[in-house]
Amino acid sequence: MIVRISRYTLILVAIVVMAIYLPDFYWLFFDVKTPSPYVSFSPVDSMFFMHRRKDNKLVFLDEEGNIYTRDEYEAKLPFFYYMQLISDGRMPESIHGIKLDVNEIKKNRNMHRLKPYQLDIPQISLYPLLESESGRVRLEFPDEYFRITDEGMEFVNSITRKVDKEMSALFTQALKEKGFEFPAKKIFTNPTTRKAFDEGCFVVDAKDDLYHIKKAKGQPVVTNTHFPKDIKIRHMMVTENTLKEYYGTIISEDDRIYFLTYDEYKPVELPTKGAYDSGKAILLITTDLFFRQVTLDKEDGIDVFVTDRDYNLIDEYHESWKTREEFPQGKIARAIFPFSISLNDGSTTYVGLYADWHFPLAWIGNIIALLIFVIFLKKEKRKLKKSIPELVLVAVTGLYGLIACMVYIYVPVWHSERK
Amino acid sequence: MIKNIFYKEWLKIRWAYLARGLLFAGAIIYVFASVGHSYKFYEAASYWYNIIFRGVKFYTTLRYLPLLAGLVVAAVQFVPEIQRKRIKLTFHLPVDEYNVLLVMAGIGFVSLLAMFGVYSLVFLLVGYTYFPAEIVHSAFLTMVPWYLLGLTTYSLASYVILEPLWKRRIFYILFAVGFGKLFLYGWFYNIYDRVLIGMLILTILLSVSVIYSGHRFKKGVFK
Amino acid sequence: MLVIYRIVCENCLCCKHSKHITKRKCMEYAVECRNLTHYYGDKKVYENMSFNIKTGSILGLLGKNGTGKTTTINILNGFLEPKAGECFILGENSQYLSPETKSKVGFLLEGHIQYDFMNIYQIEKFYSQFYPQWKKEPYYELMSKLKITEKQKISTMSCGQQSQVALGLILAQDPDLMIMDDFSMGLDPGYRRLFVEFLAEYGKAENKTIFVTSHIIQDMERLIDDVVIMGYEGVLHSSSMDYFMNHFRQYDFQVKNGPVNLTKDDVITNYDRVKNHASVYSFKSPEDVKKYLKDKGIAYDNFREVPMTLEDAFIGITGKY
Repeated sequence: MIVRISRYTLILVAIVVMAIYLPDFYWLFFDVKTPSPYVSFSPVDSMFFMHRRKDNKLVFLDEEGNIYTRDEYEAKLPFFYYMQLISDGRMPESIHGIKLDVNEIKKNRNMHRLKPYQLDIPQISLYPLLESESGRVRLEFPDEYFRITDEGMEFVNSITRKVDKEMSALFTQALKEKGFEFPAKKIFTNPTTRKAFDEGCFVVDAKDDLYHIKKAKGQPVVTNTHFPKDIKIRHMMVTENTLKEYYGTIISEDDRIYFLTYDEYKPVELPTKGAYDSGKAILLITTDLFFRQVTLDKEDGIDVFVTDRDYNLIDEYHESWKTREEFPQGKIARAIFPFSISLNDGSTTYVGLYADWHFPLAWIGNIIALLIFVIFLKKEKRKLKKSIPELVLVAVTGLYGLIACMVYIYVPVWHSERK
Repeated sequence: MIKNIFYKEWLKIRWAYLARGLLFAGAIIYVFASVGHSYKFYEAASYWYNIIFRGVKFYTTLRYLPLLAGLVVAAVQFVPEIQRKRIKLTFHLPVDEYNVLLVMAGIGFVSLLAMFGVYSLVFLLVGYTYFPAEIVHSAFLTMVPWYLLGLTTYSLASYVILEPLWKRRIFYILFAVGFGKLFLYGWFYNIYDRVLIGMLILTILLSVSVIYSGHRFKKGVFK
Repeated sequence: MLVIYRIVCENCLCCKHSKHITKRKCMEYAVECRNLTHYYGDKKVYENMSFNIKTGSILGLLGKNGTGKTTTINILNGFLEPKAGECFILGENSQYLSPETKSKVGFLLEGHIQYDFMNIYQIEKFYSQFYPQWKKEPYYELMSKLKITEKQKISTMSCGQQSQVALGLILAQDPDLMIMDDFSMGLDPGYRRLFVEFLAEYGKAENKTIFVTSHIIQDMERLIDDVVIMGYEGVLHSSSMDYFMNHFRQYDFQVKNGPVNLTKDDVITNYDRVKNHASVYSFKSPEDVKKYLKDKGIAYDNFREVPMTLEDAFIGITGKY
C-alpha cells in the first residue's frame, strides 16, 4: 500500500513537471509572434493610424491598410511625435483651426497602463502618506508609513520602528469625524516622489465608502467622496498629473473603467462597450489635447475606443488574429500534449495551478501513447487486467503518463503477480 | 524501534546539523547586519519603499539554505546506506523493512522540520526588532516555500540516492530538479500564499518517496 | 547436472502451492530452497536449483566467482526475488521474513560490511536494542582481544579487526541460523583459521545451523557437513561432505596411443589432459572407470587413484577455468 502511494505520488509529480516544461520546450522552437500593432487616433485625419512589426521591419499604416513612410506617419500624429516634428520644423501651427501650444500639448499628454496581474497583487499593508504642501519643489518621502486597522489609522516611524501616537490619534480622529468606519477594505495610492504633486491616498472603508485622505502641512485632510455605491471598486490607479482633471482611474468589479474627476469626485466612464476583461487584456489609457483613448491589448486581438474630451465616443477600432494555438504547430502541440500546466496565467501575480486541456485533439496523442504502453506491458510480461490503473492514467495523461509509468516502473509486491 | 533507529541516524546526521546550524546562524547574522547597514546608509523610508513596493527581499540570502540542508541530510543519511549496500544490514534488522525506511526518512524529515521551525522563530524574533510586523510576516510567508523545498529536496534526494540503478537515477534527478525549480519563483513577495496548503500536502505525500526505491532495492531489480 | 537432495519430512511434501505461502510448519530443515531459477536479463544464473540445510548442520556453498553464490545469499535474505522458485528460512518464505524470524537469523555481509561510522560500543549498543536474546559478554570478550582505541571508528580498523567485530556481533545475537557470505574475504590466514574454528565449535555446541559461501576452499574442509557446488551452468553437485569426499575420486593415467576422446558423461564428471598425462574425475569405482576406458578404446598406462583435498575435488569438479 505504501509502495503504491510512494510510486503514484512520484508519477503525479513527474506528470506535472512534464506538463509544465515540455510544452514550453516545444514552443521554444515553434513559437509564433502575434502581430500586435500600436494604435493611435490621428487628429489630422480623424482616423486610426498604427505601426507594427512585419517580417522584422516596422511598417506604418492607417486603418484601411495604406502604407506610409515614417515621416508621413509622424506628421499624422503630432500629439505623439511633437518633439520630433518640432526638431524637424514640421510641427503644424494649428489643427482644424485650434492653435497648438507645445506646453498645452505636453500638459495634456498622459499615459496610464494597467496589466492584468497588477489587479491581483500581494501587498504589504503599509503605505507612505506624503506631505502634499511641504513648500518644497520636490516631493519627499515621509519617515512614517501608515496602516489602517480595526482601531484606527496608525503611523509607524521607519527610523524608530515605533508607532507615532500623536499623528495616529490626529488622523484617526479626523477620519472618525468624517464617518469613516474601520478597518479599511482597500487602500490606493501612488507611492512615488517622481510626480509633480501629491494627492495622498484613496481608501475604501468598511461600509464601502471611498475616502480621500491627504496630509497638508502635517494636518489631515479627509473627504468622503460619496462615490456611487452601485459601482463596486475593484482597483484604482492614482495618477496625479498637471491636467488636474482626474485623480486617477477606477476599475470596477464588472470591468468598467472610470476616471475619478476633480469635479466633486464624480466618476466619468470611459467607453469600452463591455469589451474589457481585466484578467486578460492590458489596459492603456492615453490622453492628449483633443482625445481620450482606451486601448485593450489582448492575446488574440486589440480593441481601441476614442472619445472627445467630454468622453463621448468618437470612433473605435478592432482587430483580431490567430493565437499560436490556432496555427498548425499549435494543433500539433494539442495533439501531442494532452494538457499543459502553468503556474501563472498572467491574470494575477500569485502562483496558482492552471491547466489547459487540449481535448479533443489530444485523443490522437493519447491513443498512440496507450498503444505504446500496451506494447510495453506485453514486453514486460504483465497482465493487462492487473494494470488497469496505469492504463487509465496513460489514456488520460497521454505522453506524460506513458513516460512517467515507464520511468517509475511497477515492481510487484507479491511474487505471484509477476506470472 | 524508533528510538533505536534514531540513535543510529543521529550518529550520522549530528555533524551535519552542527554545520547547518552554524551556517544558518552565519546567514541570519549576515542578513540582519545588511539590514542594519541599509538603515544607516539609505533613508529608512525609501528602504521600506523598496521592500513594500519594489518587492526587494532583504532575506534573499536565505533562499537556498533549506534546499542545501535537505540535500546534505539526505546525503549524510543515505549515502552510507547505499555504499557497499549497507542497507542490507538495515533491512536485516528484526523489523519490517518498509517501517525501517519510513522511520529513517521520518527522522530526517522531522529533524529538518524542527530545524526550520527554530530558524523561523529566530528570524521572526530578530525581524521584529528591525521591521514592523507586516514586513516580517510577509518575509516569513515568502520563505515558507523555501522551507517546503528543503523538505521536498530531502525526500527526493533520499529516494534518488537509494535507487539501485544509475539509468533510472538520471530521470529521477531530472524530474526532481524540474519540480524543485517550481518552488523558487521570486518575481514578488507572497506569491505562493494561495498554494501553500497544496504545496504542504504534496510535501507530506512525497515524504514517503524513499519507499519506492527501497522496494526496488529489496526486490533486487537490475533494469 | 542436478542432484536434488531428497526431502524427507512429510509435512513439507504436502505444501505444494507457492502462491502467497509465507509459513511452513516443517522445522527439520532450517533452510529449504526449491526450484530456484534466476536470470539477469537474458543471462541465466541457474535453473531449478534446490537444496536444504538440516537444522544443526553446516552447509557450504562452493563455487567460482559469478556462479550465483551471492545471488543465492540475496534470495535467502530477501534482497532478491528469483524469477521462479522460493526459499523457506525457519519455515518462512524468504521474501517476507517476519521480524521474529529475522531476529533468529544472523547475517554476515560479504566483506564484513558494517555500520562503520560507529565505534564498537555504539554498534553494540545499537544492535542490542533489537534482539531480546542479546548476550554482550561474548562480544566484549572478543573485542578485548582487539588492539583498538576506545573511540576508534570501525572504518579505521583493519580488515581482520572488522571481521572480528562482525563475528562478535553475530555471537552476541545468538541466532539459530547463520548466513555468512564469503566470511574469509580479505582476511589473513590467522583470522580465517580463527573464524573457521569458532564457527565449527559454536555450531556443534549450540546446535546452530550455518550456511557459508566461500571461494577459499581449504577453509571449508574442516567446517562443513554438507556441500553444494555451483558451476556456471547451475548446481554441479549437492551432498554431504562425507559422501562427496568418499565417492568423488581423481584417477590419473598415461595415455598410450594416439588421440583420446574424453567427454563428460555419467561416468566422467570432468577431465583434464596435458599431452600424454590425463586426469579423470568420477564418482565411479576404479574398476568401472577402467572398464569405461577400455570400452572407449582408450589405452592407458599407470592408472592410479590420487587422493584429493576438498580444494582438489572442487577444482576437479568445476575445472580449472
